[in-house]
Amino acid sequence: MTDAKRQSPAEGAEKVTDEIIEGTSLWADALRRLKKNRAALIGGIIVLIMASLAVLFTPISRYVTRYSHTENHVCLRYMPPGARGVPREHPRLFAPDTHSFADTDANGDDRVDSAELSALLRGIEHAWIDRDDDGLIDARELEKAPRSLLIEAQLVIDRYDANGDGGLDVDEAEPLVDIFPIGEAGMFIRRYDDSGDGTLQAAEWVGAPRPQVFWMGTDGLGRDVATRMVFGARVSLAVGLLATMVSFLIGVTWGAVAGYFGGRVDAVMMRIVDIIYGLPFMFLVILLMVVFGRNIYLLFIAIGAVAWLTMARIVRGQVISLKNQEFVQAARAIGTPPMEIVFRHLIPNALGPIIVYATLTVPAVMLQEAFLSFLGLGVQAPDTSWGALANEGASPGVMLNYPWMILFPGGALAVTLLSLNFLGDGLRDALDPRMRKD
Amino acid sequence: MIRYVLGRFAQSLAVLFVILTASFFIMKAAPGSPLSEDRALDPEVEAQLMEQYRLDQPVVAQYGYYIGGLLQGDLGPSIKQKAPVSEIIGGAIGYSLAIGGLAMVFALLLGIPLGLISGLKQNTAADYGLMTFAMIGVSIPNFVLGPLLILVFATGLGWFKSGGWTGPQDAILPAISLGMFYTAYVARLTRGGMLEVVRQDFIRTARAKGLTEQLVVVRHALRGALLPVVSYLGPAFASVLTGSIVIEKVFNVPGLGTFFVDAAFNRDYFLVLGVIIVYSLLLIVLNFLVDLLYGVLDPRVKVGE
Repeated sequence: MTDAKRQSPAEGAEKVTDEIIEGTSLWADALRRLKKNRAALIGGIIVLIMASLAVLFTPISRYVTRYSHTENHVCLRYMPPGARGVPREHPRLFAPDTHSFADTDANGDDRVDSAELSALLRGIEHAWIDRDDDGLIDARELEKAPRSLLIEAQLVIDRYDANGDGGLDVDEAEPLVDIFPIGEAGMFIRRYDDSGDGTLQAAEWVGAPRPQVFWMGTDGLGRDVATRMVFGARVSLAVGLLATMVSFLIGVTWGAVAGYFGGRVDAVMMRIVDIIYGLPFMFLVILLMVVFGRNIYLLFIAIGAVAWLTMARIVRGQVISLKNQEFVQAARAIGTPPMEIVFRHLIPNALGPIIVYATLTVPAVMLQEAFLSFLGLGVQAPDTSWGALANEGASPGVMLNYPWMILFPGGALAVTLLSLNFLGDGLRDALDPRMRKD
Repeated sequence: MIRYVLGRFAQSLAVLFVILTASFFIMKAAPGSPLSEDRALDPEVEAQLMEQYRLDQPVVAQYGYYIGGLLQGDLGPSIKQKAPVSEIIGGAIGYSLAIGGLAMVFALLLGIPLGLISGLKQNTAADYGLMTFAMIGVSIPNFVLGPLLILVFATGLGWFKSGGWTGPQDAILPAISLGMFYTAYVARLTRGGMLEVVRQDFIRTARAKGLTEQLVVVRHALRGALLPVVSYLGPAFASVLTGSIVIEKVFNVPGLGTFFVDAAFNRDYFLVLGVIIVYSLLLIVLNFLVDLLYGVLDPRVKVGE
C-alpha cells in the first residue's frame, strides 16, 4: 500500500487514494452497516444505559432512591412497588416540621433515646395497624399487619390481651416490641445518631429521612428492590464483560493454534480441553467456591476459565475448515511464519463466527453467574446480582404472593440479554457481509 | 478405527482418573467434615465413625482405599445418607436422565426444523417471527422460565403438578424450562449454518445439475448446516447436565443434581465423587459420539487422525 502511494504521480492523487482506502476499511464499513440496523442500535443503547447506570449509581444512590442496597426495615417487608417507604403515620415522625422533637422527647431532657422513640413508634404502628381506628388491634387487623404475619394472630391476641377485651391496646402491644415493627427504634437511633452518644438530638433528628417511594417494592428484609437492582446490575454486567474477555483471549488463541498446527499439538491441546470439559462445570466451581471461599474475583475467573472451552472448539473448527484454502497456501508459499498465518490470516477470516460466539458468551456467562447465585454459590449477601435477586423471588411461596420479586430482576436480565443478543447479531451482520440479511 | 476407539477409551480412563484425583484432594482440602452436624457428636461415637469411614487415616491412604474400592466396583458409602452411593445414584439418575434427555430431544426435534425453515425463508415474516422467538428463548433464564411455567400451567391452569415427581408426565415442565434455551440456540445455529452453506459452490453445482430444491437441501445443504449444531452438542450436553441441577431444585425433583449440591455442602465425600464419576462418564461418552458424528457429517474432518 505504501508502495502504491509512492508510485502515485501527484500529491493530489495520493490524497484521493488515501480517502478511498479509509472509506473501504472493514471496520468503517462494519460501523456504517451497524448504524443501519435498528434492533442492534436499540440493543446497544439499552446495554449502554444499563452499564452507565450500574457504574454511576453507587455514588448517587443516596440522592435518588435514598436507600443503600443493604438498608433494611423489618416493618417494611414485601411492600409492593410504589409503596411509600415508611408506614402511613411515619411521615409525621420523620418530618420535623409536622412532628416535633419535643413531642417525642417525653422526659424533656432534650434527647430522644431508644425507649422514647420506641414508645412513639409503638403508638404510631399501633394506630397504623388499627385500621378501623377503634384503639384496639383485633385478630383480623393483626393478620394484615405489614410483616405479612404468618403467625396465628388470634393466639397472639389471646396471649397479650391483659384486660381480655379481645384486642390489643397500645400498652398491651409493648411485649411485641421485639417481634414487631416497633423493634426498629434502636436501629433508627443508631443510624442517625451522628454524635454516637446513643440518643438523637434535635439536629440529628432533622437529618432523618423523609418518606420515599419503593418504586420496585421491597424484599423479605424490607430492603429497597430498586436500589438492589442497580447494585445487582453492576455485578451481573461486570461478570458478563470480564469473563467473556477472559474466555475470548484464551479460547481464540488456543483454538486457532490447535486447529492450524493439527497433528500432535492439536491432539494434546484439545485433550486438555476435553479434560476440563469432562469435569462438569458446576462441580468445578462448587469445589472452588467451597475450598477458597465465595468471592467475586474467583467467580470471574472460574466462569471465564470454563467459558473459553467452547470458544476454543469453535475457533478450531473454523480454522480447520479454513487452513486448506488457497489464501493460506499462498501465505505459506511466500514463507509467512506460522503464528503470523494464524493471527493475520486465519483468525481475521474466522472473526464473524468468533464475534457471534463472543457476544453470545456475554449473556451465557451472565446466566451462569445467575445459576451459581441460585445455588447459593455466587455473590454473597449483602452484595447482590440480578441472578441472586431473581432467585430470592423464584421460590414458589414468594413468587405467588410477591411477584415483583421475580418480575423486576427476571425482566431486567431478559431485557439485557435480549439487547446483547440483538447487538451481537447486528455486529455479525455488519462484520460478516456473507451472513448479511439483505 | 478400532484402534482409534481403543485409544479414545484409554484416554478417557486417564481423564477420568485425573478428574477423580483432583476432585478427591480438593474435597479433602476443604474445611469441614461430613461428621460435623448441628449438634456435636459424642466423642466416642465420632471416633468410631471416623474409624468406620477411615477418616482417621492419612489422606493418601484414604485415597488408596477409595481407588481400591472403585476398582472392585464399589463407590463407597454416603456418610450423610447412610446408604451406598451406588444405590443413591441409581435411584436419582433416572430423573435427571429423563429431564435432560427430554430437554435435548425437545431442542433438536424442534430447533433444527425451525432453524431450517428460518434459513430457507430468509427475510420473510416467518424468518423474523422464528428468530424473534429464538432470541427470546436464549434470553430468558431457565430458573425464571421454570417458575413462570409453574405459575401458568400448574397453579393457573392446573394441567401439571407444580413440583415433585409422580410419573413421567412430571418431566414435561422441567424439560421445557431446561430445553427452551437449547431449542432457541439450535434454531439459531441451524439457520446460521444454512445461510453459510447455501452460498457455497457445491450447492450452486447441485442446483445447476437440476436437483430439486428439496434434494439440494436434504442431501447437500443439511449436512453442512448441521455442523455448527453438532459442534455445539458437546457443550450443550455438559450445560444440560449442570442446568438440570437448577431445574431439579426449582421443580423439587430428587435427581442427581440435588444430591450433588447437598453432598458438596455437607462434605459427603464419596457421594460427591460418585456423582462426578457418573457425570464425567456421561460427558465422555456423549462427546465421543459427537466427534464420530462430526466426522460423518464433514468428510474433511478425519476422525482418528
